[in-house]
Amino acid sequence: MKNILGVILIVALLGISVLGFIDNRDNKEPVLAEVADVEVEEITDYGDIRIESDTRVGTVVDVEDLDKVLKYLDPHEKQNYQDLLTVYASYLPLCATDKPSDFFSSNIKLIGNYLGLYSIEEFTSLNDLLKSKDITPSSKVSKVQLVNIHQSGAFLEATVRIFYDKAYITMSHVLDYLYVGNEAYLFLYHKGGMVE
Amino acid sequence: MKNSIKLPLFLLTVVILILGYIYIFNSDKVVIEENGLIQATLSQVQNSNIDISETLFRIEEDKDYYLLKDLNFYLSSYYEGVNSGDINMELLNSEYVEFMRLDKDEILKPYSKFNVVAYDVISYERINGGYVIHLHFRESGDDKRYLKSFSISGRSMSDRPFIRVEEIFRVTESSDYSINVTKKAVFSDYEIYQIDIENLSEGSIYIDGGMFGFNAIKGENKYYHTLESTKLPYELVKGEKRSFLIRFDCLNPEMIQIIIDGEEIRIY
Repeated sequence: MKNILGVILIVALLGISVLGFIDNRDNKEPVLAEVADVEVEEITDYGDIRIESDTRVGTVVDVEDLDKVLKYLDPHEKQNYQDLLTVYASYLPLCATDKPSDFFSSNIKLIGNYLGLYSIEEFTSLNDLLKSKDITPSSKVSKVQLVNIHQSGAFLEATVRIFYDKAYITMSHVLDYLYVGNEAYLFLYHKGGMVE
Repeated sequence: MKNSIKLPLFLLTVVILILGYIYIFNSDKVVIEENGLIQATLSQVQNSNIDISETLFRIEEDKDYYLLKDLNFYLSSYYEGVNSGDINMELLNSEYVEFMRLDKDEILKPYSKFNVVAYDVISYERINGGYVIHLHFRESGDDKRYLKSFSISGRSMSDRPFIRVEEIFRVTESSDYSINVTKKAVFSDYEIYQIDIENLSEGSIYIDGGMFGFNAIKGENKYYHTLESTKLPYELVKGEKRSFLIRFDCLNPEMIQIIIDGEEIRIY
């Protein structure tokens, strides 16, 4: 009898611990999700809220036909290009804000860093394009397709199709491989979208 | 030890081990929660198959990277314009363009082929709130590399290391002429003066066309001039008024002189 009571006591203890752990997990995960959602909501609703550090990019985005770039860049830079495309495609929907002027002036530096976009005219045009495609700040990128890439003088000009939850957009950008002393930098600059 | 407590003790040990494991496993997440969202997302990135944290770090934290990306936006836009034969004049600093009297043709003049295939930055430095960038560029079918300097400040650029324009207004008059040093453009290592000369005499007046026809004095050094405006003659006919852009390769000279009709006169 004592044996059975001991076993029941310990199993109960174990059960309570496991339940506590599960409860603990449930409490933690939403904390992250909640912060991320609030941030996106703030960016959408208030132009004076700055974009915070990465909250959108979890893993590298799949890019179809990425090998086209190997004609112009070495394999290491191909990976670098995929990373840049991931950041570009992931952050692009944030530009579908309801207050483009306020949003742009509040985030001009980060918009330059993430998207290589520096003018209010380009930003407004992008904002219109995203809205016309029903892309919202909460849209998540599912994949990118490299439509074409070619060399023009010192630059590579590329067109990509970016697929979000319900829609896709076709965007152009310029890649510049810049040497500063012995250090090489690959930069991606937004060059507008195409209405299809 | 009694058999009746052996089994509970064994199970208790198992429970302690499990709780210990749970505590260690969980502590990682507690750190993430305490230190905020950034660590959590970076942790997610690190757990993914392909790690893009290096790229994210460069974009978000590496000041050199995002400064260079920002500066290079202007350089790449400029050379895209050169290659297409159509410079976007809105990129250029309006004060600089106005002072230097530039138009698209004037800007494109140094480029013979309109096909710059490469440029690389030699150095960049912060001057007066902006940046001066020195680079080499190369055109298609030409092995030579050419040196060029730019300045970028605010949201505009200049295709020289331009810093600012300063008003001067220093007038020197005689019965034959009126000379007004009206303003100067300051560059990183030289200055260009706008000098307006009007001929008040009954005949022509002549400025010495030699190197020291205009000259600047700084300390014990005498600097010769370069004519920056179009190559007009140094003769001014009766009643003519002309505006010269004169470059001296020094900063803040103590004195500027002109040799006019054989006489050297201080005009600044």
